[in-house]
Amino acid sequence: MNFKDLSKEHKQYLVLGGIVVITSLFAVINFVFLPMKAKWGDARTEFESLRSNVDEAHRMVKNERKIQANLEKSDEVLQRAAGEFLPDMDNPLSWATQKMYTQSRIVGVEIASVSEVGGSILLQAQTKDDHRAFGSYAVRVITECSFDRLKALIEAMEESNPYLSITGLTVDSKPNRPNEHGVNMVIEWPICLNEIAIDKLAEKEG
Amino acid sequence: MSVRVNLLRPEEIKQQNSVNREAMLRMAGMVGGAAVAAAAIFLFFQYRSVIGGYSRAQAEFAEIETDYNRVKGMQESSTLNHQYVTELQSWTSSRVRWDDSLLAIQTLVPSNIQLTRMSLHGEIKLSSAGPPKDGEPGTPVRLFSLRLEGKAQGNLSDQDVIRFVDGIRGDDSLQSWLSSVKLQGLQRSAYGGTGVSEDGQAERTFRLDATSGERVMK
Repeated sequence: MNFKDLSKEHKQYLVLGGIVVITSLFAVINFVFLPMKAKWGDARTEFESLRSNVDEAHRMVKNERKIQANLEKSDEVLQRAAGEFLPDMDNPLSWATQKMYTQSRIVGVEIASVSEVGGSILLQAQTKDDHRAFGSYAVRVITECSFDRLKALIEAMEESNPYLSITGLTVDSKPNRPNEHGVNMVIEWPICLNEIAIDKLAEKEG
Repeated sequence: MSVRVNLLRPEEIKQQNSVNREAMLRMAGMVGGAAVAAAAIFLFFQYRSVIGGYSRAQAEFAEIETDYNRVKGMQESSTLNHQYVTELQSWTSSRVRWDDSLLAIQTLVPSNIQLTRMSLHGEIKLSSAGPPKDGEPGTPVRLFSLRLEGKAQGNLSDQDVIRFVDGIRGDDSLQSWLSSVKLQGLQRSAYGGTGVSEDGQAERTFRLDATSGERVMK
């Protein structure tokens, strides 16, 4: 069968048939196959996501002991910090004064005054923006003592609290009393300022 | 010698190389049908596999959902705790133990040098290592600076002061936080322009500044 040998009418039928086939193919691909494929893809993705969630859930349940141990360990650290090392959020100056006087009595230093000074502005801002849980609380301590007593006081304070930091210290010699020094010290503690952390630490304190 | 006899009629000669049209159409139909059937079967099994797998996974998840939610709660709590503990630990790691440093300084001071003033200052700044990107808070770091002022007696007291500064620079316990130590001044004491104290010894005053590196607070 040769195309040239066909009659005009047959040729028209043949061309028309071709057009109908191509149009049908286009319609089937665009309106049936592609949407079906997209829907199929979505179902598959959903299934794969559920599968991975189930796998993760299995893994997590399997690691329950480890997670619990980690939680208990960190709870213990925070509980101890809240109870012993961090200033009382309701009355930090009273807490700090009490700590300072206790330590100074142990080493035999008489404190002249303890007064509140502003903590780090940067840390306060970061806790306000929820980037950190702890800001800083600082007090100034004024006393007079020998260099050895000062060392003993600083050692006692640093040993008693791992989070305490001495961020200011001025020691002036006294011309008339060479063994006595005027001491001006700034001591800083972390203080919980983030609301979620406050609730969490309050739970632990309670 | 062979003889070829052509038994085709003239009207058949035209079609001698063509395939039967009907057979061709049938074959095309069969192949197309088989392809459509295979595709349908493939899609059906795929569908069953996805739907079946999905419902199996759902059932599996339902079985462990209670435990999962409990453990997930624990995990979230543990993560939050860990964040707080890390933050607190950075308070410890970024501080300088001054009891050790004061002892080291006291040990290094020779008998002819007297420290008249010691001042240290600590502050919290943003790390200069990398400026914070948009929306990020930046990393806070502690920086400490220490200034020692004193006087030294003796004709060779200038050398003693320099040895003292070198001693501070090289001391192991101070090395743990010191980044730079600089002698900022060394001059004869006034004493009415003589530079000699009442007991007849030359006296010099000096000042040295030391700074720490950035101590990161995570």
